[in-house]
Amino acid sequence: MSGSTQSRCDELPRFAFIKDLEDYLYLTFTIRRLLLVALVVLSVVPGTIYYGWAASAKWDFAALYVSILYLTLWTQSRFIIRFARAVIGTSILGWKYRPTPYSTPEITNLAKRMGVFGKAKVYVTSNPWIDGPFTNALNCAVYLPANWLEAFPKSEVLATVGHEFGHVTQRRRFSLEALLAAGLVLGFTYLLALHSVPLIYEVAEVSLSLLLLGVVSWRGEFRADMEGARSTGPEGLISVLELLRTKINRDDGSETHPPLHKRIERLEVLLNEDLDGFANKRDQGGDRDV
Amino acid sequence: MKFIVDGTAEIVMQPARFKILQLLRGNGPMFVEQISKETGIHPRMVSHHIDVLQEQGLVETKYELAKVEGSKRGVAVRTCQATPKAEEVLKNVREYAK
Repeated sequence: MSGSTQSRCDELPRFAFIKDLEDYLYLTFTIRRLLLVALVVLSVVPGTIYYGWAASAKWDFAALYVSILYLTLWTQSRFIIRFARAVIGTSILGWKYRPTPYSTPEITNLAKRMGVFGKAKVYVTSNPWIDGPFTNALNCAVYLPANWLEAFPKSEVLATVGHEFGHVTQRRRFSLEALLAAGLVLGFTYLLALHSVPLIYEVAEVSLSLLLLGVVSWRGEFRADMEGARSTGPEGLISVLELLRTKINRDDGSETHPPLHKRIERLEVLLNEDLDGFANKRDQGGDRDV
Repeated sequence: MKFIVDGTAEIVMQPARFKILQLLRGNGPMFVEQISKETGIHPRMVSHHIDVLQEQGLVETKYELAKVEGSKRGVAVRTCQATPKAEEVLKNVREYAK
């Protein structure tokens, strides 16, 4: 869930330059992804048809390749800055903000319903570097920023926790997909290494890793949305995502999170599915007439 | 700003809730289905937002029997009405936006 909200560290004047830098480096996610695809495809050329080309064509290709490489590095630096900020802010700069265990009867019931009772723990933190709820996949700990508890009604906080619990229940599937992606990257790099030079296949490896990271993360987010919505109802999560959508400049997704409008669309399908189920039940005798 | 401190503004800032609250303020008491038709928001989402607004004391609701075409008996409908607190919050939000 994190990554979509405005970080509270952006409100700290001395760190405002970080946000300016991010905005300056910003390109749409589609362009960033296309650049990565271009880099992967072009990295295959030097090991295959490149040697048969005329010298002038080789120079042209080299110029194109280096230009795209620099542009990709430039645009991906935003993701790297955000990632580094989150890691450093959470672990080093935010060391004094110790998370507090958080539990309510509703969260306990939800954990039981989703089969994560005793496995997943919920914590609240006032660390300003944490810009949204997130789950630590290693210890199944769910972290909620304290300002979320103040800003959202209980039912929507519960929906958010349901989404995070969804990450815990889908942890094994996520790990399998991540392993498969890693296998694909290693296999591709190995094949490329047989014909190409180290710099080229390393660039291809990193580019393909970033591309597949997006695919695996997006699938994980969609699954967590569905898991949470099936347990808490989709209304709360839709409402939270709609509010977050008003707080961001562009809704085109990120390296780790799909666009909010796509997530909302998928959740809205559940609204109608459940209504159909309710209508069928009503036709069978359980009507609302009084 | 008091309304920011108590979190009510954050609740109202949700675009669908703001739309519903403005509609109720302008049109007076309405059913969930009516609100849904007017705003284009799914009835289940309308119910959710009404629950949240009711928790915050911005909307009052009561269940009533209403005649519906095709039904011999009355159908229970939830009538929603904006409270004076809603007026105050919307006024504050507008002032803040200026």
